Amino acid sequence: MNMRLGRIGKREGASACAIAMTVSGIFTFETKLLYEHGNATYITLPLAVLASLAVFLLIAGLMEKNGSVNLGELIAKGFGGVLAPLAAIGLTMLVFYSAYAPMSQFIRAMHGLFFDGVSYSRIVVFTLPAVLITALLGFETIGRTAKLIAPALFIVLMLSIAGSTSEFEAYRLHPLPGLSALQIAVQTLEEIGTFLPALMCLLINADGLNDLKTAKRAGIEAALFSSLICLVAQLALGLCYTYKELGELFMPMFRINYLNKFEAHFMRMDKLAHMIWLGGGMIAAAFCIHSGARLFSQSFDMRDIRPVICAGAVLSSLMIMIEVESKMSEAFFAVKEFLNEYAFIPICAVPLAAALAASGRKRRYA
Amino acid sequence: MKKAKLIERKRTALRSFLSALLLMLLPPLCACMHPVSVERCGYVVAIGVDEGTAKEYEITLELQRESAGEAQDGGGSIILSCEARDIFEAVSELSSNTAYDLNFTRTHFFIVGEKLAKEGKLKDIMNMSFDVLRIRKSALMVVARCSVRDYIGGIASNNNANIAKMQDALISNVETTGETAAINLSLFLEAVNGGRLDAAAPIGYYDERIITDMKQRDSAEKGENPISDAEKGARIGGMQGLTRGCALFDGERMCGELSPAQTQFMNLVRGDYKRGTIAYPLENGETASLLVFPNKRRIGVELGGDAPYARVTLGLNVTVERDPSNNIGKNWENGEREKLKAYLEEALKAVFEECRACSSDAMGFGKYASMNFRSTAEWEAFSWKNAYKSLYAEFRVELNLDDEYLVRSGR
Amino acid sequence: MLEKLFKKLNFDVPDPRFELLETEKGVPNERREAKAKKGSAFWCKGRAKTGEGRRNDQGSERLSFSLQKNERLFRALFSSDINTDIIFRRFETGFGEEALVIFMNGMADAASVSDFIIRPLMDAAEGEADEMRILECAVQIGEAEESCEIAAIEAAILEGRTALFLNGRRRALLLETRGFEKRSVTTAENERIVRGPQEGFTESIRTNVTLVRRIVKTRDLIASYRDAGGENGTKLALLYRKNIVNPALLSEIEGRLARIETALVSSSGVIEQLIEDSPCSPLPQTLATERPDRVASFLMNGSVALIAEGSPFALIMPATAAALLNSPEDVYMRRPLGTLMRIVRYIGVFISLILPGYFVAVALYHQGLLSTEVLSTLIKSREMVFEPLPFEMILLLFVFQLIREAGMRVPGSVGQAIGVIGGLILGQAAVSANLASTVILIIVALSGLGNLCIPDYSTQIAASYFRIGFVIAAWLGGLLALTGAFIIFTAYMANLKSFGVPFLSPTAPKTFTKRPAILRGAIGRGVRMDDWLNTEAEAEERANEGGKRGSGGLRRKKA
Repeated sequence: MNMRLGRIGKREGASACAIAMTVSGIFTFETKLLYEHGNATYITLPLAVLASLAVFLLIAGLMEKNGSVNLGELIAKGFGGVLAPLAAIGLTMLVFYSAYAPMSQFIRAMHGLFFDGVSYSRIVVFTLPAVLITALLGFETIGRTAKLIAPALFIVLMLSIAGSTSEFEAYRLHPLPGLSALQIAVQTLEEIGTFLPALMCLLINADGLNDLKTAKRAGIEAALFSSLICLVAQLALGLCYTYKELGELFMPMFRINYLNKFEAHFMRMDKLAHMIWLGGGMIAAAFCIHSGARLFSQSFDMRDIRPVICAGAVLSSLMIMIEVESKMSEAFFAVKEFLNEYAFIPICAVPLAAALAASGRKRRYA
Repeated sequence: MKKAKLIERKRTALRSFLSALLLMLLPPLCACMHPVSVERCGYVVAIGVDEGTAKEYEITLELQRESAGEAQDGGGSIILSCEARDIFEAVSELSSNTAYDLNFTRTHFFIVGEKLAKEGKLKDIMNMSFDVLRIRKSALMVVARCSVRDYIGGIASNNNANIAKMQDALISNVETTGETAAINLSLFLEAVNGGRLDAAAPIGYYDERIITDMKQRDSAEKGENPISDAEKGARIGGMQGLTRGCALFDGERMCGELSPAQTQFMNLVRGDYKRGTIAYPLENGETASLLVFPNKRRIGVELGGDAPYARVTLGLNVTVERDPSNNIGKNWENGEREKLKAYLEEALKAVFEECRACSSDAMGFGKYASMNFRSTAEWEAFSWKNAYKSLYAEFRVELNLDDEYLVRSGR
Repeated sequence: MLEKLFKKLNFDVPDPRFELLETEKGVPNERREAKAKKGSAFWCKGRAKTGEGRRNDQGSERLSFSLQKNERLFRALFSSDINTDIIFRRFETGFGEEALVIFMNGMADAASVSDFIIRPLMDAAEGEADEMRILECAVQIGEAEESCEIAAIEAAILEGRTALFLNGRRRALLLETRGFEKRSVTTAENERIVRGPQEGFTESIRTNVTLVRRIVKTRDLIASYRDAGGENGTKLALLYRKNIVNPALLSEIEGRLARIETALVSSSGVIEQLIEDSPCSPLPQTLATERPDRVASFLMNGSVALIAEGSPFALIMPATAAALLNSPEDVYMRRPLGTLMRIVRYIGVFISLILPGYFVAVALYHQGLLSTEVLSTLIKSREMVFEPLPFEMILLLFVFQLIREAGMRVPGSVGQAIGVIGGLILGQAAVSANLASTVILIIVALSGLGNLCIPDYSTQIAASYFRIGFVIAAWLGGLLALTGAFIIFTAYMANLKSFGVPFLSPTAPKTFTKRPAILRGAIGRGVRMDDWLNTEAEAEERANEGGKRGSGGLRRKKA
């Protein structure tokens, strides 16, 4: 089988996962829904990351117990026969969705804020090669590229935040916390669906990370780092804009430097920063597409991963085009809203169910 | 066997190469991103919106001219203006009459006529058009107490070929004198939409009496001396477009104004005051100049009780620049401090009452009022605008005389 | 049908590339372990020294006892009637035997043949003449070898050695008499440094190996000579330190060398292309250097060096991006200075690659990123230029390449003048003629300077063409396409391997090396720094430590 897996270390895995999680945590969400009842994202998003980490560690622990080397094997062991491929398809679609979600935001930003009068499809055509080629080159390449790009992304983000510190005002965070405890809990649960797919990708490629222990360590590092970044970024956003403005802004991180009255040349670098983050989004998309393709190929005993990667990339691009340009946009948005709210259920339930079923079978046959 | 392997390897390499080539060719074959070369654009550095006569608005655009050092008559920029229903119509009309594409990504100023500001039509102009035209919301906003076209012409003087530096100059002016306000579109929209404070925008004036630097230069070349013909009292040199004082807003509607001296006190409470010279009237009718640096600012708003109550505590470092009575430093501990304190507190209160009278929370007490709430629902149910009308504000000033400045400057 | 398609697309075939690095836990790939154990999986024994059995039809044909027959054989082999370079000298020795010496005029030192072979033999005392006696008492040559195989004797003669035959003996003596003209050791022309050794390699393999041995005076430095594999019989010397080199790496390199079969191997450049992982890649996967000190530095760390006869460039394997971008002078300077030099160089490389493309993207699509001053200057300078901006950029980059190529081909001081002419006069004239704008000229000049900071020539050339790719990407899609191109470029480099070592080591993957890639680390005290080679010494160290290491990075399994 040609799964283009190779082998990467803990840091590469952690970088790829951290980029995917951070991109999701800062650029992916629909602001209208997220800030509807106030701004508590500096609480809910880091909590969601930690909750995702807890689920991830639980699944990884169960995998270790029943001896599965990766998530595909776990699902096969747990569900077996007919159910395993179906579960794999579902998870694969969710993983592809988490590749599509940040890219669609970036592409909408490109269309609205960068390129005058250029249609979405043309922008998609320029992002597709980078995502596709990176995914096709394999897991090793994705991990190493992520390791190289990650420091640049971090520095750019910190510089953007640092540039806006002069306009930070504590009152913008108020009312504190704005949401009730129940609302915070619900939002946290919903956001698990944003972060958990990236961690699942680590489990899907656990054998490419040498072993499950390394995958766990990589996941922990990625999650802790991402939660810190999400906390800092959301706090910065909350100190720059009130919840009402955040709800109306598309990609508020892009506009974090707009409050500065004193516009040095450095302050106009928000577009460049955004492009660098687009690079991070491309890597995150490649990571998710490769992982989804791997899970699918493994579950269906495919001999080569490359056709599935191509299909996944094209599918993600098609989803973006449908969302923005077709007459089905309304229906698509409704599906997207639904997934934003409830995707955490299948993404938690399926691997957990598989793990428990596999453990149960092992005990029965032991 | 070896040959077969070699052929296989060559085929694989060829296939990979062709696939990569196809992928590389895909973007240029399918996509054109409409590049516009840098020299084909006219960069709009200032947009002015005024009331029109024939149509609803008069839109004025100031374009940056290329290359400093080539200044000619009329200044370092090009002014375009026309009347239109909205900004889009104006842009279409102006674009069709110029040899370049209008590019709004470098806009530094948004100037609005006073009449329009008083009518409260700004939010609609800004929100939609600025996103579509990609106007940066970090552009500074000015309310023009004159024709917008005149004001833009006044700031587009030939001794200021680089309009971008004007933006810095305005902010620097606020920081060094505090006699005017600086607000950009983002902050203005926050004030309008957020309901926690009101905007205070600088007021622009046009003084045609001013003999600009270029006029002096041109006249000198012709052998004339314009200064001798200048009207006594008229300012000589600099730009004909000035910015002083501030306009008070209630939401998106201009409802009042403050003089430069009053603006200083407003900025002190607002937190925008970095340093400036405050005029202190003495008992003998003269005026002392005090250089004031804020060192502390504490504001609290309590909502319990019949009416909201605000307590403002300001700490100021004072350096005496000029004291005709020669008394302030000498008798600082013997009553002069108390007198100055009382004066400043009275002045602050007066400015607050002026703002409250026109329903403008320019001092931003609403920000601190929102800190009393724990949930968004409670805050949204509370109407700060109504509560502000009965707000009682108490001002406390703590003064510290800093005479090191005098020692350092050798006075 | 599907099966055929799958076969064509190489389904079921895992990545065939050689992998040197083991897992994080040190679990080696089974395939590699097996090969390492075999030792000669790719390499057939007996080919190491002389390439016998490949080049000629004689196979292992042996000499005859008759001197006459041997002489006739070799005359026929060398076509002596028309090939007058080969000298056949028959004479009678002092001990009454007939002898024949065969040598190649020009390759062998005729004076040595006369003074130390023929004369002593003629003057030898009477008695039993055997090879030992001849070697002990008569012939006054330092290096000598016996052989009875025709192919070996032929090869020796072609190299410049002299073959001595005695009547009635079936063995010939191959005596070291090489004395061909060669260039003396001079400065390394293409790798100039200010502080550090100034010697460079020459075309003589022996001289080059000697230059390395003068620096690496260890008993385990092996110089294994072999045939390059070309029909022209070029010799190679494979240098490595037996006690520290990774056997898997050595085995892989030897295997690749053994598989070379081509008509002409004239220099190390040809060998490089024949043994690399990706010969079609613009980026080199071996480091070509003219400097013996550099070779010595890599050998001490466990790399393998290859020196080819006729080429003043040695190849070092494996090569990483850091090796290609770092200069030997960095180590000879003090640490802060070396670090600063490296930072400047890396910034130069980044500017060289990205600046032209970034500028084109910003000028065409994102003018808001430019400061007002630059914008107005740019508009003014481009007012009368007829070409579109990206075309102007590509044209000037191309002109820069032309000037560089012309400067290299034109000899001596005229070459320097070309640089001045191109830089000043052509540039100035182009601006005056409205063929170029000043801002673009400055961008191209900066980019060119950054490119020239790259120490390795192949990498320099590759970078100069990559930047044109970035310019085209920026032309088509602005910063969006430039970002995509940069991601693809980074992914491509991350995917590249050099003899099993990832090209971007030790950054990606992060290894245990104590030496940072960009900053100049401290000079180690006996500690080997490049741990991605998984050398024997490292394995020993870890075994002594008891294998106590944290996770992350890659290492070798304990023996």
